[in-house]
Amino acid sequence: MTCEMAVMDQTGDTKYVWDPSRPAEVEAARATFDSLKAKGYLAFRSLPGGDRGEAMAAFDPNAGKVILVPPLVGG
Amino acid sequence: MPQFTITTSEGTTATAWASWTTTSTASTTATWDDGTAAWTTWVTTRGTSAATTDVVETTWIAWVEGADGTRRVVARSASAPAYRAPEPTPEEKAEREKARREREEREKAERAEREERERAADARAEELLLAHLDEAQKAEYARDKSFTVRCRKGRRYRVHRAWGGHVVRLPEPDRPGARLCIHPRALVPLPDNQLMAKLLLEADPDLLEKTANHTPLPAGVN
Repeated sequence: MTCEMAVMDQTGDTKYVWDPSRPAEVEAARATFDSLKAKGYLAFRSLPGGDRGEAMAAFDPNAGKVILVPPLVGG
Repeated sequence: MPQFTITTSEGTTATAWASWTTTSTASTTATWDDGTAAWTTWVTTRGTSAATTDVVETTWIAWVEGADGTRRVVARSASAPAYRAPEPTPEEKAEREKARREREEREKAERAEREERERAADARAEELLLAHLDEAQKAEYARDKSFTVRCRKGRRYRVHRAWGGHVVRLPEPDRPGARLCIHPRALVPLPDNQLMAKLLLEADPDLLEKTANHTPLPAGVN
């Protein structure tokens, strides 16, 4: 199984993938996740098909699909 | 004799340069192109008499076109001819035209490249958004690129395809509607902005309401 993290950016998004059974890939994905969260990104577990999204406070190696949104401001 | 007039700060008009001397001590003359004499020297220090100066210097040696474009003051000293910018040679003209064409082509190519990148980003973001809409939301989006989200507390929001003010809290019997302006600090394609709003409304609508700037909606507006 491959898990995927889509980080929103000006290209649309940049995807980071990892295999939960491979520790090195999991750690790399975790490091990216933690680094972006520290910068204020919001993380959501992606549930395709219109199901409700869930906020993620911490990295879950078995999350399936994750979407990270850049820090938000009121416009 | 032709004259320039100036309008003062009080709104009155006065003839300019009425006191300039028309003769020079340095054998330099200045004339309008109709032959009448004009000023030739520019006083640089204050003298005791209007016609006597401590130091004079020759004025500009050419004044290319007057304010109305019909007059030209040309002053020539005995040794220096009037300055005229040289006409470019045919080779120089061709070189400039070639540089201009190359610059235009380069800018056109850069613009096309940028637009293509933006189109690709928009398409990619829209694919991600559509993967997270249910069938009813997809149908709404197909109509006008917006969709409705119902959050856990039951409030309904309309999410439009825009950057600022793209989230509208729909009116309720006990609460007026409002336009909410919230977006990422970093620029992302508009469909990403819409997906962000959907995810946040579903996960934490209070955070969205707290972060956004609110503009009350007039009654009857959705």
